Amino acid sequence: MRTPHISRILVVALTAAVSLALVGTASAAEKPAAKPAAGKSAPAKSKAKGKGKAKEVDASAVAPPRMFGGGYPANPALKSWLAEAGTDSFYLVLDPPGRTLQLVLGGVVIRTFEVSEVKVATPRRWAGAAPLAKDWHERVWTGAKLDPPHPGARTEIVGPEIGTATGEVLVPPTPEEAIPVPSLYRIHFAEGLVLEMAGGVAEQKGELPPTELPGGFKEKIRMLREGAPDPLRVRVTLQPDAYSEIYRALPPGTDLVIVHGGK
Amino acid sequence: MIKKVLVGSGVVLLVVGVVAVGGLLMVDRSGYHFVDPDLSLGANAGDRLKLEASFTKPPEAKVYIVIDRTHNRLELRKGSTTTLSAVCSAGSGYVLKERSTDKRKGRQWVFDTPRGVHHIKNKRTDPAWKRPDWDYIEKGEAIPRNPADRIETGMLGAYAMDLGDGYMIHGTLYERLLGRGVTHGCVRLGKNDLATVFKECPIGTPIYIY
Repeated sequence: MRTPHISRILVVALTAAVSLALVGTASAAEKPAAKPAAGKSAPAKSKAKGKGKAKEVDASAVAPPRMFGGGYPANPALKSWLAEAGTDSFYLVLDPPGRTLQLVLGGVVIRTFEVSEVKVATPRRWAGAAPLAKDWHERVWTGAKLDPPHPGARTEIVGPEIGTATGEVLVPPTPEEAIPVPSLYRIHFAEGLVLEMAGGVAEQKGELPPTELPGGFKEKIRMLREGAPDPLRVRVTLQPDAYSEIYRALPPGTDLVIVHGGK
Repeated sequence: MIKKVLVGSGVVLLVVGVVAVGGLLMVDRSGYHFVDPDLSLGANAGDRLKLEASFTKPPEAKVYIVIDRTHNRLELRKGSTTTLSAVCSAGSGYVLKERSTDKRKGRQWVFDTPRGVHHIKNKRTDPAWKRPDWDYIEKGEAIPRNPADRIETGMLGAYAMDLGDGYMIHGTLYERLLGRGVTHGCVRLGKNDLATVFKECPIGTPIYIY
């Protein structure tokens, strides 16, 4: 005989309650330390502090910032910005008060997108949310990766035998056809920050809450047991066109700088 | 006695259940607590304004080109002003593989327009095109031994601007395909837009491709 649905939920809830009582906040606090940012180790000091000191561990959940030498400007965020401007690499400048997200290359703004809202988030804990690292907007976040990634496979053509070509011109798909934009996507940075992009057509139609995750009940239990996957999320709400354009055209490996103050 | 145990167990289960359900309700499905960021300008206003003043590159008076290779768009800009917005064709992203023979393993080419900062290195009028190996392989033609046999005229339109490594901005015989990524890495423009870019951009003009 199958267990009724409500009973199953109750069983799962009770199991979760017992598990949580055993694992508790310490488990959630351990998560970031157990999964340091890709390729970068957390400071030894923070690791040594170990369990139970959520604030200390959270500070180490993100890799050490790329700091730059002294001198003008004094503000670290602006210093990061200036240092990026001196390179020939791509980077995003998110200006929450100015409500813009800019794609910059070699110090030149090549695209500016209007942002309607910026929110910052840390994982929920039993009693509130994890603390926000103090330097989250005063550093360079590196190595953007789209999630989900583009449909990866490239079209491969094998040259025809000599004399057998038909002369037919292969017409490739448009960007819209080639790269369908998901209803929800994120941009992961190597040091642990995740940009959660909102504003796609599905969301505009009210079909999909922007932060909804699949899995529902089971996902909640998993999060309470294991902690949320990313130490820091920044949700950026855009217009649908910008939402799609960034997904299709963002160069991989782009860096991110979050700056103070608007115009 | 048994009744008391049952009642006690029931109460314990109820309390645990309430705590569990309450705990789960505290977590929305995102598992995150979203707040407005506090990024007030405060004492950094001076830094910010100084930085913005020194930030704009290249200087206002200079012309530069921005190419979105995904959406096949080219913009000609002067400082922060866009003076031309054109539909272009960038690289297809296709991979061409040469058939392997008994003598050698087949080569392969990736037809991407390279991202990054480039510059116009040379400008040519009525440019001739020296067909590379991949063009013969793609069309199933024998590769000529005499380099002079590779030269073809009229394929690149009226103008070409070299970016280095064989990449160019040039014209096309296939204007109907503008807006799609069809090229082997070069950037194709329509006749009128090509003329404007050629006229406005001196050698050394920076090109930002993303």
